[in-house]
Amino acid sequence: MWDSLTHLQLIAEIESEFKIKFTFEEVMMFNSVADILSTIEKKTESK
Amino acid sequence: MQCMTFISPLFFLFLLIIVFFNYYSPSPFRPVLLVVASFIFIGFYNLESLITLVILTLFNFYSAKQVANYRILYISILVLNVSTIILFNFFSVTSNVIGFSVSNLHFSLYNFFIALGLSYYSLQNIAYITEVRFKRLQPETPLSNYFLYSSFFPKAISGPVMLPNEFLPQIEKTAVTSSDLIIGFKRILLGLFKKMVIADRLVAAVGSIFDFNSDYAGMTTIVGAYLFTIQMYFDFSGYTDMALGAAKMLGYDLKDNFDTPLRSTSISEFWRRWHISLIAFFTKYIYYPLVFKLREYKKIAALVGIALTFIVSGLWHRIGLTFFCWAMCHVFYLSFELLTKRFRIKLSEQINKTFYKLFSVFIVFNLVCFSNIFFRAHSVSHAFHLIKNSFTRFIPSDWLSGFIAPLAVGGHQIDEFNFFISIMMTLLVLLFEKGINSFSKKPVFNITYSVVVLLLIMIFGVFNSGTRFIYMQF
Repeated sequence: MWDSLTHLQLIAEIESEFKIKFTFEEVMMFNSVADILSTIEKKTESK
Repeated sequence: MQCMTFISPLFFLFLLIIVFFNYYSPSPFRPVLLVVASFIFIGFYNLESLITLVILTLFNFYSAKQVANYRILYISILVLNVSTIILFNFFSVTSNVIGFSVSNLHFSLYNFFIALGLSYYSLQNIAYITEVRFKRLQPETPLSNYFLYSSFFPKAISGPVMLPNEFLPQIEKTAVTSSDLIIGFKRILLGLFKKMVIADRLVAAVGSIFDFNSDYAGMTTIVGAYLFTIQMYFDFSGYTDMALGAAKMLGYDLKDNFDTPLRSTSISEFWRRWHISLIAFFTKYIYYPLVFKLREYKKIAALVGIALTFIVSGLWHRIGLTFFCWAMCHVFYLSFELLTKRFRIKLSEQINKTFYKLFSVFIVFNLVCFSNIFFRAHSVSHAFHLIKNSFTRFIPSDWLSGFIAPLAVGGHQIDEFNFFISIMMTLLVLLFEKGINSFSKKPVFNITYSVVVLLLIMIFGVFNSGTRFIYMQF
């Protein structure tokens, strides 16, 4: 069962794994895994 | 105080005239026509409501132009809008009438605060300034369009709460089609039926059980609690059908507030299907941002989010202990569901699916009815008295005076036929709800459907009952 909490738990895990922080706006715009991947790439490149 | 509620003949005359002019007028004039109509609608209720609406709308509209640049301005407008809702709730339970006159017009200070629809359009104003503040929306809406967003009369009394991106783009739409007229008309008929034939027929039974409860046995009290939830559902979803129908006849699609909620198999599912527009607002502007902020704490974040969202929702309805208890019931239910999610999934895999579903629907319905005792009761002690009565002396000692009489009161006399009709209609509609809803949304005019529904309303409807819609008070 997928819900908002599972979504946010995944986000928290990704943040600690890649040591990045998403903004609320970014998280609300995630509609697919591809969206998440491209944002992770952008964030890790700019580090 | 006169009011054009959706079940008054005057409203239908008013709607007919506005639909006619809106249909035939050139599209650029339509928004202005609808703003004027909405002002008449609200001003007819009382002039104070119209003045409050105009002042608050103008204030939010002009502040929104600068809100992206100044955080303090955003917080101030937020505080102002929240304060208006708090004052609305405060004044709606007091009766301090302080009046003053300007030339020949007499105003009541009290009416400025309990302005019609205030707690709904204030939420929409909050949504608009928040969207602008976070740059998801440019404050370029023309003033007339913003007035329409704020005051559009089909949603003025009790919502649905529309977010800016759901309503504003619709204003630029050019045509009202004949399909819109047909769908709107059918939806209004369905709403009238739900309100006048089902909800209002249950008013007397619910009133006698809740308000004169001291003598009734547990079974009678429990049936009364069931009937109140059913009454409220048909009252509010009937209102919503009529609001959506009236808006559709003017070319607008408002958000549906209900999606067969009494068939929910969990409380979280129930809140995705009951008063959808209000919960969507609270989820978007309170629950998500809060849980995001606290996301490191995982489940605790969700529990805090649930608690705050429902406490605010309860206080939005009314500031008082009864609505706080109502909210706490749902906080408890939802927290329990969150913490037992894995266990419940495992359990559902081990037992018969149909049985699990039916059992879940039964449990959810009972939990909702239990919380609604606080919604309907006059005070917390009254609610506890009703709850205590539900569990003591379950079977009535005298069936006629202790069970049939309170349920089958028609006016001042016992009317078993009246009650039998109510129950039959309610069960039939609940059983075939999905089919009835989808049929009434089809753009095909069906003369048999219209005549049958109208006849049912005329024969079984409750006329001149003096009841209003339950959600008008909020």
